[in-house]
Amino acid sequence: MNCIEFRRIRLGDPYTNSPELNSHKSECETCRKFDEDILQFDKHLYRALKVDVPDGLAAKILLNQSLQTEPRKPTRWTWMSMAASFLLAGMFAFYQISIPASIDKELVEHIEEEQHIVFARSTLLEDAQIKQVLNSIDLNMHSSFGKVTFAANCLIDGEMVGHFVVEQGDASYTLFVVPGKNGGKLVEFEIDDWHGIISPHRSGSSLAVVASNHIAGDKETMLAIITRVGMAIDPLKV
Amino acid sequence: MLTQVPDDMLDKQARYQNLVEAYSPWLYRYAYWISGEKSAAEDLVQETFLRAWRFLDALKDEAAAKSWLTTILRRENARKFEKKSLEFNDVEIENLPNQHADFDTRPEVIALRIAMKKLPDKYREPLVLQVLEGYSLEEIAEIFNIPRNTVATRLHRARQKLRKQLEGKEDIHPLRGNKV
Repeated sequence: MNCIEFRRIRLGDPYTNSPELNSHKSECETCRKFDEDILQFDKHLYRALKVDVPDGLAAKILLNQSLQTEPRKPTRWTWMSMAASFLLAGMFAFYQISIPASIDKELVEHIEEEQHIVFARSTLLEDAQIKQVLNSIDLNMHSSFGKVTFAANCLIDGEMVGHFVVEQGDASYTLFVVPGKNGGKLVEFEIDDWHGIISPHRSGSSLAVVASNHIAGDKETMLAIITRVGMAIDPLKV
Repeated sequence: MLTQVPDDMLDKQARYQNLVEAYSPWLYRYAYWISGEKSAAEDLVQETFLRAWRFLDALKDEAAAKSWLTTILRRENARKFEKKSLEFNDVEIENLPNQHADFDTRPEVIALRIAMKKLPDKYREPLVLQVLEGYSLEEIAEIFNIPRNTVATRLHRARQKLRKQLEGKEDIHPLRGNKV
């Protein structure tokens, strides 16, 4: 192997070695230096290419996927249920008009009313207890929500919702699963000392995570909770 | 009677989540260097993973996941952005170093980013695959569907072109004037 051949190969692939390359490098000081310089150049190039990845990218991708509905092969029952769905959709649209577009104020009011009871708890709940609360609002759970210290069905704005407290890191996040109120898009809100995110779920429900500005509340963690819970629940099939 | 969600559905969710967590950073960086801007890169990665979800059953070998996702991303890019010429935003390049402490802001590294954006696609893309993610010549050849020797030639020329762009800029040249 001559110097020209050595350099041609190294410029194309500085990372693979062969006995021929090693042999030439050990005999030729200029090519050994050339090899070191190429590797040094690539180290700088690696740093240049390693641009920052947006915070929460994985959570956003998973959230996006969780909003997609699973396509199913149509069957006779599917067509019949589709016909029924058109009827229900009309009724649902009528119902939607009659409910407020945003529930953020009601959620915050509820937290403030109950926080002395809710946040005092530290024992982790069993999945069965969480499932029981979800079943009451026609939802099912098939994977973990994470560390949950409170789970109850509460009435908010006259509707039964799932109310949970999820521990993440050193902070407590309130999670609401609100059936039948689905704004169709992700909404962030700030009310007094509270801020939160409300996200639509493929079941037709909304998932809301609320945190106190004093205790917790980074958006990435809230999105991660919504994503995890969103993937964990499905409509209860009877 | 309660109907449980089938185990294969749970497996699919878990597999998908693992893929997203493992490969989204890499795919975003690759998308950035082939699309030329941050928002387009994020869109590309989102589209790639949505498509991956739909066709996840086609991925039989988990070890091939990275190449599979890279190929999907390239196709998505071709479909969406290829007709639009690559126009890197100089302001965006300059403003990139504003986020994390480990983001390299040394002049020689910024000079290399600017030089990279001027490389033609056919040289820039394989170089990103090789340097950033350690793809072999054979793997790159398979993704681009071109012969291995063509890949080697493109990588050779890519490095030569980068060096040439940085010639005469010894103050910011990564090798400080060492003749390579």
